[in-house]
Amino acid sequence: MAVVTMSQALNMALHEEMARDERVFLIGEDIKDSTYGITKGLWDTYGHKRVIGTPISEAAIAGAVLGAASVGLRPVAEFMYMTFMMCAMDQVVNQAAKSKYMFGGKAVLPIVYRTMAGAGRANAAQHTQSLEAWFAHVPGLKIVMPTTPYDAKGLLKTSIRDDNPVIFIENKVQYATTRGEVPSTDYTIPFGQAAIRRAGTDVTIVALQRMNEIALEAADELAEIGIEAEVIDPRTIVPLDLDSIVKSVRKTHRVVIVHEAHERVGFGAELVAQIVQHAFDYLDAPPIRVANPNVPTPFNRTLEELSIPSAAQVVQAVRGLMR
Amino acid sequence: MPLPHGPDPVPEKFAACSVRLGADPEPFRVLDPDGHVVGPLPELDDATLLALYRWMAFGRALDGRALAIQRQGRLTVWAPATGQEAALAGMGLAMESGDWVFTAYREPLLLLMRGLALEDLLQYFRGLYWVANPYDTGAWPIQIVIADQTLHAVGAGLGFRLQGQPHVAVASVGDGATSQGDFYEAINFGGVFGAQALIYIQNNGWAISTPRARQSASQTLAQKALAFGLPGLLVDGNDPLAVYQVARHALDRARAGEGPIIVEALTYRLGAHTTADDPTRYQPPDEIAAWRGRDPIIRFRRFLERRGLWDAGREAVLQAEVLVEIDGAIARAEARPTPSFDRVIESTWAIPPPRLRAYQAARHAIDREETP
Repeated sequence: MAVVTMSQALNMALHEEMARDERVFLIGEDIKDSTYGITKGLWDTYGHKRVIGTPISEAAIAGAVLGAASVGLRPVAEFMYMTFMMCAMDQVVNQAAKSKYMFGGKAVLPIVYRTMAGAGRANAAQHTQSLEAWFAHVPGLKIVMPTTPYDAKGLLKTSIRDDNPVIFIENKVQYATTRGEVPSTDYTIPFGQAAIRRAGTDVTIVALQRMNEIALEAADELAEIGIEAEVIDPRTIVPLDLDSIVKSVRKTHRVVIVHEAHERVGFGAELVAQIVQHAFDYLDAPPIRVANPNVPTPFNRTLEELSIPSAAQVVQAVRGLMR
Repeated sequence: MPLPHGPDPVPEKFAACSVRLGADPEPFRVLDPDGHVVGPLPELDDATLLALYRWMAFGRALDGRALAIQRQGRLTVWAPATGQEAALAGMGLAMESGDWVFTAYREPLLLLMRGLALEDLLQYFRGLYWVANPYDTGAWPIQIVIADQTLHAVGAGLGFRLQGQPHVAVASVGDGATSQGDFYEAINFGGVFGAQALIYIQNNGWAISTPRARQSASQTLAQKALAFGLPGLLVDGNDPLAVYQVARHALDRARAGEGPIIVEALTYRLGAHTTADDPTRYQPPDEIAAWRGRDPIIRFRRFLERRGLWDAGREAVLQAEVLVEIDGAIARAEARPTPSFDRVIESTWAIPPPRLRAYQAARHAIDREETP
């Protein structure tokens, strides 16, 4: 099995799905030459009818794929940065998310909205936001957040084969830096199944994407002082595998949630509410969130790195719970 | 001077109604307000002409009945299209099987002509979801967000092109929609990709209480096509034979892969925006009177009468017939039960997530307690 980067794993998934199903096509800005390498080589293989570079027009991308899906295609749209989705919010939230319901359940709208979030590449405040909680609030959207290259490939293939709109969020730092074994065979990963990245008994850490890597670092540090953390990766936040998270918390009695998004009304808030509801009697300490402290992401690299959670902060939070 | 939209100029017949720089377009017209022939007649047989008139009369009668039953609380809302029947029926007649239409809320007549059952449409206006199967009718559910459907139509038109299918997607919008960003992103996209789409603007003079002059300083709305490299045609929207011919041309052109045309039909809303407002508070009385004199149904009826195809007796029979048809559909719609709340959940989720299943179970428990 080859060791590949996150970018390469995503590229493999697109290649395989386009070869498998001629209804699958890609549409987005600058996708022919692929700024981050995800769509690299696809234009050469599948041509201009299946790899469609667009005007800078996010609402058009978001809305046009609904029409294209309604007449039989399976579009994979790309928003280069997640912040650009704000230009398309009406089409995503008012149209894509609600169309199945508005059609009385009869619509088949196999749309994937791929986008890229996260801090760490000095893209500054207006190109760096993790907005998964906004979309999680809206019924009718599935939200996928892969952490490993293996999962990225399997989950992207599942997303493309799903008959409903899926928002597929990629972490832009992980593209080049996160590597892992990825088989060249066809496989999918079902939505709504969390992965236990590290087993432990003393505290549960639920962390998304790059923050899961941070959580694993923190877990190693904690192990050195005798604290065994269980690290969980939800992989999809809608649908959410709450059972795995609750089961872990009932075992460890403590939970820390780590994400890059702002703490206030972030997805961690929903997780805390669910955990308190379903594991209240098992908790030995209040659930804690480690997240962006409600500031815009700084442009300056040093300041940017300070605005997102670090392993040291996760260690600190866990130690606070263990007192 | 060559037309600014390049090597494919509109046919001579439509030259005068085509927007171009430095010239005022004249709306394409076949019938004058009194039904006299003043332009080229389309090749339509008598049966088709009568069917066209029937649809227009049906639309007018439907508005009357729908408004009445809405006042009785039997419909949630209704957006009458009184005065716009020619603009709707001319387009409906021009479209072909396999074409799709993406409308706002004032186009029931166009949707019915595409094969939507009236009782299914009335279910929607009773506040329920869209009961018709869109894949059977080629009709996307009514769009309430202004201009959003322009993008869906352009996307469908791109989809037809990518799949090599000989169909056209029609976006039907009002004058107000041309002020939205989605409208411009749509026509730009449509032009770049040669989408098999038609952008149809029914300029009825008013967007709720906002007059046309407040939407844009453009002399016409069709001329917006020029900036996007598309042809734009102006048509008398109260003349069904003119609308039919312009629509036919635009559909043929799009079907042939030559890209979208923007068609602006000049018409007037002889009624309220919806059952929620009172147009006499903002529409000037002399303006209403002037447009009543251009009533599309009277115009077309006089044309048919002069050709010996219509008379008072036939009119009376038709009026009675359409009311029976409409009342039958209303009765069938009202006989359908309100679905359970489960249907709402199941319409959104093919397989409801665990949390929703728990919610359903809890609700059912309450229902059981309340049932004596």
